[in-house]
Amino acid sequence: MQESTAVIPTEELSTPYAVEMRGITKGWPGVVANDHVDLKVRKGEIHALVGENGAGKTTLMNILYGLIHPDSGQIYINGQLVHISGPRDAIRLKIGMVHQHFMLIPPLTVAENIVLGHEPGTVRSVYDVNAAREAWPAH
Amino acid sequence: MFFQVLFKGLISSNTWYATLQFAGLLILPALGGVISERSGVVNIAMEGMMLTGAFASVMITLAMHNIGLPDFLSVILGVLGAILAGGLMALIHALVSINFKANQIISGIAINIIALGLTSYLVFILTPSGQGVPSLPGNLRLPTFPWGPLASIPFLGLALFQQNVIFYLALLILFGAQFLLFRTNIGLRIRAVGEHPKAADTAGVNVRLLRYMCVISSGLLSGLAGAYLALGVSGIFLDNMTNGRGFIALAAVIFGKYTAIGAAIACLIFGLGNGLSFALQDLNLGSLLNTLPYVFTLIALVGLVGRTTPPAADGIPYEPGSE
Repeated sequence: MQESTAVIPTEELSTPYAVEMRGITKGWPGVVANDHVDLKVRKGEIHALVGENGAGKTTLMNILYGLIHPDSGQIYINGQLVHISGPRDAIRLKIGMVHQHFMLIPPLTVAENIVLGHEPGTVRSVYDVNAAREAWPAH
Repeated sequence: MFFQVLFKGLISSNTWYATLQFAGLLILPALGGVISERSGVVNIAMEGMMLTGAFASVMITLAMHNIGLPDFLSVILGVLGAILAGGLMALIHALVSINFKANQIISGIAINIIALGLTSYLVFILTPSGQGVPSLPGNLRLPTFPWGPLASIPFLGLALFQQNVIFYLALLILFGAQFLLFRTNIGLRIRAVGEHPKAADTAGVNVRLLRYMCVISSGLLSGLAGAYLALGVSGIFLDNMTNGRGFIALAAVIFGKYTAIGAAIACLIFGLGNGLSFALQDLNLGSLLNTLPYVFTLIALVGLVGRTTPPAADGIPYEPGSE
């Protein structure tokens, strides 16, 4: 697995990493997908994680998004140690993920697909079709 | 001859009374099934949950009565106990299917068998010399809803306004469930979780919690139906007294295309099968007539429905992080 790093503006160097993954290890019986992986991303950087099939790219990203829990290792967001137990935690930390396969739900309407998880109003309220249709520019 | 008897049956208010009563018994477990399957957990255990509810309602009502509580309170506690007992059975199903990711059909079959064996056994050991539960006196049963003068309207009065209190409660729950599933944010999330749990999870929806809530709801509703059957309709607990109603409710879920209103219409049709089986007794077909609701169920499932599409992830345990 290789990591290509963009040029870092010097004033950014003093601030903590936006995302820092330290010593991430995750294995399943018979295979180690991530073996003490470190990933450091500064604010504004764009990284590409490159590797062959089964190299563990998706595993690492799934760990960052809380879909998989690492066997060991820590994640720091803006210098703060965080525990990401699921996508809800990741979303709260402003981590977003676009999956390789489209994550759309065919029977739902476009508006429903877009607002799912952060519907207008509270979880308990009535689904507001008009508010949902207006909602998308806000996100 | 046949059509004369059929016509006589159709214009008799007794037929429609029995139709609505049977439909009312079916709709609660059917709604439970709709909610559970919409969230992606196959539930064929409404039969067992309903039977457990029926058992709990009678035993708790009798026990409360025996320790000297007022009749009214004993019945209320019996109903609450039935709801809780159904919910507990559902909790087992939720645990097995959501946490342990076991086959949901097998879990459902197991719960049905456990419910049947456990209730029969407990009746045997809890009643004096194992003779079974006595028939409940009228003041320990669920009453009909007091509609007053409406109840004496000719024809309509008997069918519509002399049903058990739970019947009207079931109607309220029916519209509530339809509204919940299709008009609220929670309903949107439930449907999303049943169709594509990973997409819902990625969007920040708590798949596991929602599925738990939905499966447990199906148990609560089935348990209530058990109380309706035992405390409202029969006034007694008998071994296997649900007699397949939970399975007819399951057919109504599919026939109704996994919507609350659709399931209710299916329950009405199956209820009519039951209502007519009383009316057609004049034909001297004997116990063959008792099969009528089941024949209706078969015809409905094979012939009328065509293809119904269950929620895409129905019956598939959710594994976070798998592609």
